[in-house]
Amino acid sequence: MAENLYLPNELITRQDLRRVGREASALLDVLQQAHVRAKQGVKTTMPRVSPILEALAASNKIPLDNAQAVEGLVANIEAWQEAAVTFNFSFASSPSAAFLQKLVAWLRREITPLAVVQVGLRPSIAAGCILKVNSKTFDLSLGRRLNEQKSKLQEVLFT
Amino acid sequence: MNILWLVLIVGILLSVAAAFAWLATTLSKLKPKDKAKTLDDLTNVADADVEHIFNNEFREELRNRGRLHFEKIISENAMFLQQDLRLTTAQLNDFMKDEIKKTLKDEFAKYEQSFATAKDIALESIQKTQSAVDQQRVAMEEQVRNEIAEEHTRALKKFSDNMAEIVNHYIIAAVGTEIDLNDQLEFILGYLEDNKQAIIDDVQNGA
Repeated sequence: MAENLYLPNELITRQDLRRVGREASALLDVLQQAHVRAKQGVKTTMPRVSPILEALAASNKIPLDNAQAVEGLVANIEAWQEAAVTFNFSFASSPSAAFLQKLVAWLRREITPLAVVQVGLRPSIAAGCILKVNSKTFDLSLGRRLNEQKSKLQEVLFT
Repeated sequence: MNILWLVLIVGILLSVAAAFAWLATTLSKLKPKDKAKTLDDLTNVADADVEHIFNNEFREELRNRGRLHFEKIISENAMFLQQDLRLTTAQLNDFMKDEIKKTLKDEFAKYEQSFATAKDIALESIQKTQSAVDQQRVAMEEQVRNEIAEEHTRALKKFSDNMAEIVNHYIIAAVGTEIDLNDQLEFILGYLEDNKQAIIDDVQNGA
């Protein structure tokens, strides 16, 4: 079921995934209660959902008023939580949501569709980022580039 | 003439013999009691005469004469002794002068010789020390020159090594957080693209 659905770019972090999972479970409870109450003639007001859940539902064409569809979504979200790959990024400053969406879009397109991002701050890197995936760390910072170019810098400075 | 002399001598001899005969006859006629009485009398008379002749004045006179004579002798002896003493003292002074002069001369000669030897030794030692100091100075100059050159090279190397670090640090500090992450997106995505395969491998092999 997880292969059929995909994560929207609005869902960026693992916390977003958990939050959407809890929200979808709560929505499923409301829908089930509404179904029981509807038999008794009681109309239930549907709760407001978060933009991320809306985006998730919209991108996968899942009707959020359909309990069965929502149940499938919850199952998918649980599967995603198990299978999602966390990419730990360190930046010099806090990235914007648009930046993270573009970044996570590239990761899901090029690396794995189940990519989620964890963001940390490290001002010393100045520019670029440091990425830690599972066992490897990729230093994509400006500091590393400058250190790699130290010989060239020395050549420029002392000739 | 000779006969006259002979008669005279015989006559003298006869006279002497007659005198001895008379004296012997006279002495033989004296009794022993009278003889003893006469001896005591003679002794007493002699004593009286002795006291009479050697009275106190005579004794005092003798004593004065003896004292004067003794003083004269003592004075003469003292004079002689003084002369001898002066002579001896003069000789002794001369002897002492000569001896002291000789001893001092010998000692000075030895002292001069010792001083000359010590001076030679000191000069030799000073020359050796000066030579050693010169050698040490030359070696030290060489060592200091080498160390300065090494230190200079080391400082230059350290400066060149650290200069790159300083420039890097300065660039990083200057850039700080001023570069907008949105502006870096292409740069970051380019890096990710360069390391794409390694990231995929880590995702597939990790977890």
